[in-house]
Amino acid sequence: MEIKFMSSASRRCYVKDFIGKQAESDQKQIFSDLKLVAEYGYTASINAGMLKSLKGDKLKKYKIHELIIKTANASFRILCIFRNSVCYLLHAFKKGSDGTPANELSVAFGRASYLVSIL
Amino acid sequence: MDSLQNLFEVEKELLDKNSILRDEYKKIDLSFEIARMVKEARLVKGYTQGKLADLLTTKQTGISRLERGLSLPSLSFLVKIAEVLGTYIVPPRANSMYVNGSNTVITRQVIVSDLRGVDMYYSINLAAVSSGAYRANLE
Repeated sequence: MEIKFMSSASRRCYVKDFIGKQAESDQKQIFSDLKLVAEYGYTASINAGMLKSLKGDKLKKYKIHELIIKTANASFRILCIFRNSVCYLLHAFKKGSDGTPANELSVAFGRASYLVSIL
Repeated sequence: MDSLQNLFEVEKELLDKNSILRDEYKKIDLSFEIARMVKEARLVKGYTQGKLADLLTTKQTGISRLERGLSLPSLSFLVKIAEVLGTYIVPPRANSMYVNGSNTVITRQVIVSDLRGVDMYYSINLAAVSSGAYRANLE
Protein backbone atom coordinates (compact mmCIF):
# COMPACT_ATOMS: atom_id res chain seq x y z
CA MET A 1 0.00 0.00 0.00
CA GLU A 2 1.29 3.43 -0.88
CA ILE A 3 1.45 6.13 1.76
CA LYS A 4 1.24 9.77 0.67
CA PHE A 5 1.63 12.94 2.65
CA MET A 6 -1.09 15.50 2.13
CA SER A 7 0.00 19.05 1.28
CA SER A 8 -1.95 22.28 1.41
CA ALA A 9 -2.54 24.47 -1.64
CA SER A 10 0.50 26.45 -0.50
CA ARG A 11 2.59 23.21 -0.53
CA ARG A 12 2.80 22.90 3.21
CA CYS A 13 3.17 19.24 4.14
CA TYR A 14 1.64 18.97 7.60
CA VAL A 15 2.65 15.48 8.70
CA LYS A 16 6.17 15.79 7.28
CA ASP A 17 6.63 19.05 9.17
CA PHE A 18 5.33 17.43 12.33
CA ILE A 19 7.62 14.39 12.06
CA GLY A 20 10.61 16.62 11.30
CA LYS A 21 10.13 18.42 14.61
CA GLN A 22 10.25 15.27 16.74
CA ALA A 23 13.33 13.77 18.41
CA GLU A 24 15.46 11.84 15.91
CA SER A 25 14.90 8.53 17.71
CA ASP A 26 11.15 9.12 17.47
CA GLN A 27 11.39 9.98 13.78
CA LYS A 28 13.17 6.69 13.18
CA GLN A 29 10.44 4.75 15.00
CA ILE A 30 7.64 6.65 13.25
CA PHE A 31 9.09 5.83 9.82
CA SER A 32 9.65 2.25 10.88
CA ASP A 33 5.98 1.86 11.79
CA LEU A 34 4.78 3.65 8.67
CA LYS A 35 6.86 1.26 6.57
CA LEU A 36 5.22 -1.71 8.29
CA VAL A 37 1.78 -0.31 7.47
CA ALA A 38 2.86 0.33 3.87
CA GLU A 39 4.32 -3.14 3.55
CA TYR A 40 1.56 -5.21 5.14
CA GLY A 41 -1.45 -3.07 4.27
CA TYR A 42 -4.77 -2.08 5.72
CA THR A 43 -6.18 -5.37 7.00
CA ALA A 44 -3.01 -6.54 8.74
CA SER A 45 -2.58 -3.13 10.37
CA ILE A 46 -6.19 -3.13 11.62
CA ASN A 47 -5.87 -6.71 12.92
CA ALA A 48 -2.66 -5.90 14.75
CA GLY A 49 -4.21 -2.82 16.36
CA MET A 50 -1.85 -0.36 14.68
CA LEU A 51 -4.68 1.24 12.76
CA LYS A 52 -8.12 2.14 14.04
CA SER A 53 -11.23 3.41 12.30
CA LEU A 54 -12.53 6.44 14.14
CA LYS A 55 -16.14 6.53 15.22
CA GLY A 56 -18.49 9.44 14.86
CA ASP A 57 -20.91 10.41 12.11
CA LYS A 58 -18.79 13.32 10.92
CA LEU A 59 -15.63 11.21 10.75
CA LYS A 60 -17.36 8.30 9.05
CA LYS A 61 -18.14 10.53 6.08
CA TYR A 62 -14.50 10.32 4.98
CA LYS A 63 -13.68 7.12 6.90
CA ILE A 64 -10.96 8.81 8.89
CA HIS A 65 -8.56 6.37 10.53
CA GLU A 66 -5.97 6.75 13.24
CA LEU A 67 -2.48 5.27 13.08
CA ILE A 68 -1.21 4.47 16.54
CA ILE A 69 2.53 4.92 16.92
CA LYS A 70 4.21 4.47 20.27
CA THR A 71 7.88 5.22 20.62
CA ALA A 72 10.20 4.99 23.60
CA ASN A 73 9.53 8.65 24.41
CA ALA A 74 5.99 9.38 23.38
CA SER A 75 2.78 8.26 21.82
CA PHE A 76 1.74 9.68 18.45
CA ARG A 77 -1.39 9.59 16.36
CA ILE A 78 -1.52 10.13 12.63
CA LEU A 79 -4.97 10.70 11.17
CA CYS A 80 -5.45 9.45 7.63
CA ILE A 81 -7.90 8.41 4.96
CA PHE A 82 -7.75 5.65 2.35
CA ARG A 83 -8.62 6.12 -1.30
CA ASN A 84 -7.88 3.64 -4.09
CA SER A 85 -5.33 1.67 -2.04
CA VAL A 86 -3.47 4.83 -1.07
CA CYS A 87 -3.22 6.00 2.52
CA TYR A 88 -3.20 9.80 2.75
CA LEU A 89 -1.70 11.21 5.94
CA LEU A 90 -3.66 14.30 6.98
CA HIS A 91 -2.66 15.30 10.46
CA ALA A 92 -0.37 14.15 13.28
CA PHE A 93 -0.16 14.98 16.92
CA LYS A 94 1.43 13.83 20.11
CA LYS A 95 -1.04 11.99 22.26
CA GLY A 96 -1.69 13.25 25.75
CA SER A 97 -4.79 12.23 27.64
CA ASP A 98 -7.18 9.44 26.75
CA GLY A 99 -9.23 9.80 23.60
CA THR A 100 -8.56 11.83 20.50
CA PRO A 101 -9.05 15.57 21.17
CA ALA A 102 -11.96 17.12 19.26
CA ASN A 103 -9.81 19.92 17.86
CA GLU A 104 -7.39 17.40 16.30
CA LEU A 105 -10.30 15.54 14.73
CA SER A 106 -11.67 18.80 13.43
CA VAL A 107 -8.36 19.63 11.73
CA ALA A 108 -8.27 16.17 10.12
CA PHE A 109 -11.88 16.51 8.98
CA GLY A 110 -11.17 19.84 7.30
CA ARG A 111 -8.13 18.44 5.50
CA ALA A 112 -9.99 15.28 4.47
CA SER A 113 -12.72 17.44 3.01
CA TYR A 114 -10.19 19.47 1.00
CA LEU A 115 -8.24 16.42 -0.13
CA VAL A 116 -11.29 14.50 -1.30
CA SER A 117 -12.40 17.55 -3.27
CA ILE A 118 -9.16 17.62 -5.27
CA LEU A 119 -8.51 13.89 -5.69
CA MET B 1 -2.49 14.17 -6.95
CA ASP B 2 0.83 12.81 -8.13
CA SER B 3 2.54 15.85 -6.66
CA LEU B 4 2.04 14.54 -3.13
CA GLN B 5 5.19 13.11 -1.58
CA ASN B 6 5.24 9.45 -0.71
CA LEU B 7 6.76 7.81 2.35
CA PHE B 8 10.12 7.10 0.75
CA GLU B 9 10.49 10.67 -0.54
CA VAL B 10 9.64 12.22 2.81
CA GLU B 11 11.99 9.93 4.71
CA LYS B 12 14.80 10.69 2.27
CA GLU B 13 14.19 14.42 2.48
CA LEU B 14 14.33 14.42 6.28
CA LEU B 15 17.44 12.21 6.23
CA ASP B 16 19.15 14.49 3.71
CA LYS B 17 18.41 17.53 5.87
CA ASN B 18 19.32 16.12 9.25
CA SER B 19 22.72 14.57 9.99
CA ILE B 20 21.63 13.61 13.52
CA LEU B 21 18.78 11.59 12.02
CA ARG B 22 21.23 9.90 9.65
CA ASP B 23 23.42 8.97 12.63
CA GLU B 24 20.36 7.64 14.43
CA TYR B 25 19.58 5.36 11.48
CA LYS B 26 23.15 4.06 11.34
CA LYS B 27 23.30 3.38 15.05
CA ILE B 28 23.02 -0.26 16.12
CA ASP B 29 20.21 -0.12 18.62
CA LEU B 30 19.43 -3.61 19.84
CA SER B 31 16.17 -2.65 21.58
CA PHE B 32 14.90 -0.94 18.45
CA GLU B 33 15.86 -3.82 16.16
CA ILE B 34 14.23 -6.44 18.37
CA ALA B 35 11.15 -4.25 18.83
CA ARG B 36 10.82 -3.84 15.08
CA MET B 37 11.21 -7.58 14.42
CA VAL B 38 8.66 -8.58 17.05
CA LYS B 39 6.19 -5.98 15.81
CA GLU B 40 6.62 -7.09 12.21
CA ALA B 41 6.22 -10.77 13.08
CA ARG B 42 3.11 -9.92 15.13
CA LEU B 43 1.68 -7.96 12.19
CA VAL B 44 2.31 -10.88 9.84
CA LYS B 45 0.47 -13.16 12.24
CA GLY B 46 -2.36 -10.65 12.72
CA TYR B 47 -2.16 -10.61 16.50
CA THR B 48 -2.83 -7.63 18.70
CA GLN B 49 -0.42 -6.97 21.55
CA GLY B 50 -3.10 -8.30 23.91
CA LYS B 51 -3.45 -11.58 22.04
CA LEU B 52 0.32 -12.07 21.91
CA ALA B 53 0.54 -11.34 25.63
CA ASP B 54 -2.18 -13.89 26.36
CA LEU B 55 -0.37 -16.56 24.36
CA LEU B 56 2.83 -15.81 26.25
CA THR B 57 0.97 -15.62 29.56
CA THR B 58 2.32 -12.17 30.15
CA LYS B 59 0.81 -8.68 30.24
CA GLN B 60 0.02 -6.48 27.24
CA THR B 61 2.02 -3.68 28.85
CA GLY B 62 5.09 -5.92 28.72
CA ILE B 63 4.68 -6.42 24.96
CA SER B 64 4.08 -2.70 24.54
CA ARG B 65 7.28 -1.86 26.43
CA LEU B 66 9.22 -4.34 24.32
CA GLU B 67 7.84 -2.94 21.05
CA ARG B 68 8.58 0.62 22.12
CA GLY B 69 12.17 -0.37 22.75
CA LEU B 70 11.88 0.29 26.47
CA SER B 71 12.90 -3.19 27.53
CA LEU B 72 15.18 -5.84 26.17
CA PRO B 73 13.79 -9.39 26.32
CA SER B 74 15.87 -12.32 27.47
CA LEU B 75 16.94 -14.71 24.75
CA SER B 76 14.66 -17.41 26.17
CA PHE B 77 11.69 -15.04 26.07
CA LEU B 78 12.60 -14.07 22.52
CA VAL B 79 12.61 -17.74 21.53
CA LYS B 80 9.17 -18.09 23.15
CA ILE B 81 7.89 -15.07 21.21
CA ALA B 82 9.28 -16.51 17.99
CA GLU B 83 7.56 -19.84 18.65
CA VAL B 84 4.21 -18.23 19.38
CA LEU B 85 4.48 -16.09 16.24
CA GLY B 86 5.34 -19.12 14.12
CA THR B 87 8.85 -17.97 13.35
CA TYR B 88 12.26 -18.88 14.72
CA ILE B 89 15.66 -17.61 15.77
CA VAL B 90 18.39 -18.49 13.29
CA PRO B 91 22.17 -18.45 13.73
CA PRO B 92 24.34 -15.73 12.19
CA ARG B 93 25.78 -17.85 9.43
CA ALA B 94 22.52 -17.41 7.52
CA ASN B 95 22.67 -14.69 4.93
CA SER B 96 20.89 -11.49 5.79
CA MET B 97 18.69 -11.91 2.77
CA TYR B 98 18.10 -14.96 0.65
CA VAL B 99 15.56 -16.30 -1.72
CA ASN B 100 13.35 -19.20 -0.77
CA GLY B 101 11.44 -20.42 -3.79
CA SER B 102 9.58 -17.52 -5.30
CA ASN B 103 9.43 -15.53 -2.08
CA THR B 104 12.08 -13.24 -0.72
CA VAL B 105 12.69 -14.11 2.90
CA ILE B 106 13.92 -11.24 4.99
CA THR B 107 16.19 -11.97 7.90
CA ARG B 108 17.40 -9.15 10.09
CA GLN B 109 20.49 -9.76 12.14
CA VAL B 110 20.82 -8.66 15.69
CA ILE B 111 24.06 -8.50 17.61
CA VAL B 112 23.98 -9.52 21.23
CA SER B 113 27.09 -8.97 23.32
CA ASP B 114 27.57 -11.59 25.98
CA LEU B 115 29.30 -11.13 29.33
CA ARG B 116 32.72 -11.93 27.90
CA GLY B 117 32.39 -9.14 25.39
CA VAL B 118 32.18 -11.62 22.56
CA ASP B 119 29.65 -10.72 19.92
CA MET B 120 27.06 -13.37 19.34
CA TYR B 121 24.86 -12.99 16.35
CA TYR B 122 21.23 -13.85 16.27
CA SER B 123 18.53 -13.05 13.86
CA ILE B 124 14.85 -13.65 13.60
CA ASN B 125 13.63 -15.08 10.37
CA LEU B 126 10.37 -13.30 9.78
CA ALA B 127 9.55 -15.52 6.84
CA ALA B 128 7.81 -12.47 5.51
CA VAL B 129 7.11 -11.98 1.86
CA SER B 130 8.32 -8.53 1.04
CA SER B 131 8.47 -6.33 -1.99
CA GLY B 132 11.33 -4.45 -0.40
CA ALA B 133 9.97 -1.28 -1.97
CA TYR B 134 10.24 0.77 1.18
CA ARG B 135 13.54 -0.49 2.48
CA ALA B 136 15.75 2.57 2.50
CA ASN B 137 19.30 1.99 1.43
CA LEU B 138 21.43 3.95 3.84
CA GLU B 139 24.80 2.86 2.56
